[in-house]
Amino acid sequence: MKFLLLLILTITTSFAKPLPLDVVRNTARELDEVLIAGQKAEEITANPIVDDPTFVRRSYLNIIGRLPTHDESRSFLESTGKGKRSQLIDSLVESPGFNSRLFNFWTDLLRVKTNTEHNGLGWHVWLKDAVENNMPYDRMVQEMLAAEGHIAENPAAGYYLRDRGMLLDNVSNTVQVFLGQQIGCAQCHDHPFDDTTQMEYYQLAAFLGGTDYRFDGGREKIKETIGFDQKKRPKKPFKKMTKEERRRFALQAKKTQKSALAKRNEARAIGQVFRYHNRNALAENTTKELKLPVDYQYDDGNAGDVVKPGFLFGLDAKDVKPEQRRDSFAKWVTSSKNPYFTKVIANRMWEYTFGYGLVANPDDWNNSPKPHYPRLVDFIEKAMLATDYDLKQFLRILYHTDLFQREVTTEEPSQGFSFHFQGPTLRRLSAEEIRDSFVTLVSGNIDSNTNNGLEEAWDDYVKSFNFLMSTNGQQLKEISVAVIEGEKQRRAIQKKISLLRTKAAKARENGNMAAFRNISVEIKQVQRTAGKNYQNRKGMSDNSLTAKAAPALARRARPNRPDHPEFRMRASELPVPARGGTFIAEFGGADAESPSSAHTEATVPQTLRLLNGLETGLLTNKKNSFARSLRAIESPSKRLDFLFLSLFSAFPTEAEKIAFLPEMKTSKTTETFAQAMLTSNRFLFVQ
Amino acid sequence: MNPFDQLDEQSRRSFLTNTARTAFGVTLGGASASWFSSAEAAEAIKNSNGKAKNVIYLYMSGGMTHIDTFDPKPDAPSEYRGPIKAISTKVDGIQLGQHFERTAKHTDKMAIVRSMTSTQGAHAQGNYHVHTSYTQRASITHPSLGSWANKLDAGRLKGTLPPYVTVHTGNNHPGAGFFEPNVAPLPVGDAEKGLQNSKRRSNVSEADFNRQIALRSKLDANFGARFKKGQRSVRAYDEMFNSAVGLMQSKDLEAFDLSAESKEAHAAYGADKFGKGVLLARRLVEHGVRFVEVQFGGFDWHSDNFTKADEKLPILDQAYAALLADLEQRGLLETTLVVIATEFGRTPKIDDDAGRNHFPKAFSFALAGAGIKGGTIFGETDETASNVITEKTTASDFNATIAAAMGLPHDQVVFSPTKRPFRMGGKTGKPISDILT
Repeated sequence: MKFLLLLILTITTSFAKPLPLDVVRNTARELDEVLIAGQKAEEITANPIVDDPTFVRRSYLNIIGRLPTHDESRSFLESTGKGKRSQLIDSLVESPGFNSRLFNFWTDLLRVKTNTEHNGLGWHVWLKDAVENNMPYDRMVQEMLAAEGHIAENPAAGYYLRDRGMLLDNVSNTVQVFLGQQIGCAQCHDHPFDDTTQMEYYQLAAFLGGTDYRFDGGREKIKETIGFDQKKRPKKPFKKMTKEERRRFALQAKKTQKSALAKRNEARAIGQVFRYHNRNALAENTTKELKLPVDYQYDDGNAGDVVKPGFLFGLDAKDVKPEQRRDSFAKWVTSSKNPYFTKVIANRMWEYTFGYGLVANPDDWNNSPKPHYPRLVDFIEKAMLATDYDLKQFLRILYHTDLFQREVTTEEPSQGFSFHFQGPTLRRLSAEEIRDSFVTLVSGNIDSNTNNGLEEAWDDYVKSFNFLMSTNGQQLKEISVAVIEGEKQRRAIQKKISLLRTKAAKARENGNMAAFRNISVEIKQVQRTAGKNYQNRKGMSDNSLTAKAAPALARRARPNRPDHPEFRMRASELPVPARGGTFIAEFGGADAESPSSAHTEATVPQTLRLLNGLETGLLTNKKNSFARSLRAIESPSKRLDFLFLSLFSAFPTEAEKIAFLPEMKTSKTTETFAQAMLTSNRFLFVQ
Repeated sequence: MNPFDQLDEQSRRSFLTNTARTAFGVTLGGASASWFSSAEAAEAIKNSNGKAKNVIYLYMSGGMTHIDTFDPKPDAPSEYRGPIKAISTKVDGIQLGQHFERTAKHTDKMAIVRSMTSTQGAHAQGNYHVHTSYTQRASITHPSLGSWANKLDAGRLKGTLPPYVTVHTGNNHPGAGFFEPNVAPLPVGDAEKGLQNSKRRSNVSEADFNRQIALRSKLDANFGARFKKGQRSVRAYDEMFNSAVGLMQSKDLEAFDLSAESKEAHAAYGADKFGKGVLLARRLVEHGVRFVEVQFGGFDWHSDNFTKADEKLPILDQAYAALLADLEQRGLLETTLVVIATEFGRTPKIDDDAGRNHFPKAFSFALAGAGIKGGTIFGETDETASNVITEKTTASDFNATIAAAMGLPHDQVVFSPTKRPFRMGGKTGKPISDILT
């Protein structure tokens, strides 16, 4: 392990900078040596090194998540430089496309939902920023798991707010995603296969037992501005008072009844300003503790007993003070002493690069068979530690291995079993990769186009939130009046629309289609006017005060319109998960319901879409730049080159020239041929 | 010997030893029954006469509350029963939650199983278990019911229509599992839109289209020769390509077109997305699709259980009742089995947020139509719907019952590619003969 040692030394002296190339290469070489030694012992022969066309296609797809453009393919294939493979890898790793592919990985693993609420938007923007700035993995996880407070102040809290009200599910996912263990079963009973008991599950969850999904800031603001504390209760509970005390209490209450009522109403009105903020914040309630469930069935505890926090894997949790619970939990998960934290991410990055885990089930280490090369698992764990959880540099090492350059195996690994890694695995492109390859075919390299609409909407929200928190009582009152008025108007419009709908349904039932159509048009008009009013913030924009506060008053996050049309941006710029029926959803893009939900299963609708759908139509549509460039090429053999380079990242072989040159006869036959390429497995898979 | 076979065999054995040691305490084949379907299966099939040629499987995703729907407890304390009342139905002695007004008129066709129980209390795992009869393992994906049905009786796989369609299902659906892609479901993302892109683009002539298909196989010749044998996913894309092309030319394509349904039919099933899905299911079954699953999402009511019940249950009630009436009227109920399933029930005791949480210990499923003895209640929970007190029924038993109603042997062994034995009714499933006609 001498090079790995060198790696450790280099890292400590040059934090967060790209590693020197020789360190990367030497570490990669050592990794290959460990693998080859293991394979030798098992009499496994590694696959040969791939040719340039396979390499360039694989590198673009596996590193930046899209096909190379025909120029990019050509310039690599025609280059005669000695270190061209290594140079390509390094230039791709430093390009914006690298972040794009990695971000898709994270949103899938973490089940990010962008658009539902502000906490989704904020978390999305935060996570994207973390990937783009290559935030070390351990810090990223630590920030999410330790997060509390309002989303505007700490967007990493989106990790918990994603599962608001479903704390136990969140804990199961945390342990699966970051520690590679399936403990979900122990939520209800002792785990039947593993060692985890329901008690241990609850002990772990107890670290988060103080979680309250609420925003204390609103109440504090009300207290600060109008001096009314909604939470204040009489010093002595009414029930415990003596008769005399009760009498005096009632008398006092009667005296101040009027003013108290007014104050309370005032507080309630102002409370309207913060009504959606409880959804976007979590607070640590130091007096709240997790209890065993009502149907607890084991001898080591009774239903309703308070559970003391405790770690898994036999690690000791000393007396944890209530206010430290969340922080201790985050520290335990991300500690380099945690037996799984480091190897789980190293294995996930391995799978991300080579198509299959070194430990076969990255989400379930206990039910994974022994890996064929345990030394290699140790090696990548140490490399992960040595890079200080710098995923970019870690991946760069994997991309520089010989393994990354080997031919794929002709047989797929059998699911759940250890794999010998004679080479990477053949895989279908991910949904985002197919879409982004189409986008690139149509628009060229658009990797640096960003969706400013999401960031702007988030910035507006944060600014507006900060403004709201800086207002005085008078300003708050004014804003609350506008909020209540706006709500009234909204309700009125809703009522109007629902009345119209009933009318429309009746008309339809009676077969009066003309009336039905008229009413439908009317409904649309009402909706449009309401929408416009909302956009112009009418009723709220009487003065700058309410306009400034508006984004923080809205229930839902509404991203601004981006500078680029959707089809000129990478998938990673769009809100997640993809809506049903979109290209990404149809090809198995994540639905964000469970960790790593994206899949590459074949379906009939996918094929129909490739055969007849809008996206493939775009490529042969005359108005489109790809189709135009194709048509502009007069020589049939150059047209064939263009198509092969664009879709297969290769020049046609002599045999392919003989077979397919006749297809280049007319623009129509060329088009037919291009369509055939788009539905071919050679296009859909990456070797 | 092919080195890959050897590899599989080795890792398979080490895996089996591993799980045997940690999990079951049994080895392959040790204590289990015969590899072939049993006399018990034959008996169950005889009971049902294998009447169900088709199945419409309605899946309530998120875990549907049982105490507010199929297992009401009007006499339970209010912190259990909440504000929802029980209503009488067409069959004396069968009560349902108050939202099932229209369903109440059809209880004579239904068998309600009130004694479902499971150990799978998380969504993904529960959903998987109910769909496959097995618990979720990392080493294999088990086939879902629809794929089993088509695998066990492959005689109907010939037409151009797919044998198995899923409507509005999510990414976690197990699909064909380890079976070959020819029994995989065709997923429809939006019933109202049907099967999109099923027509040739107007600027593509039939000759060009055929040319395109021929060119594709020419382009893939080398790729296929290299990978088709060893890669299921490559075979799957070829399989789907052929199905898609066949489907485009099929006269049955209209089965996917909801606009061909009358406005009365649309109105009867309801305007909600789920109603459209159920209507599509009826249409597909009518055209000969054997197994259609429609999912209805959003039953995970951790808070505001009763507001959500008011929003959601009438939609289910309307579509389900309309389906039963419609099938009956068309004479299809005699050959169509209609199922309502979900991953688990909800805690009978209402919590501080007026919510109910995951509860795998007791829940209810419903069956109706072909092969089913209508007007039956099977099994019983205690006075607060918290414990099953008679006739404990597992997902495996339930799925074995579906198999029997379809005339399929629930315990016929099919081996996975890794040579492990699996059955439609799981390891232990027994058909519920009391509810089969």
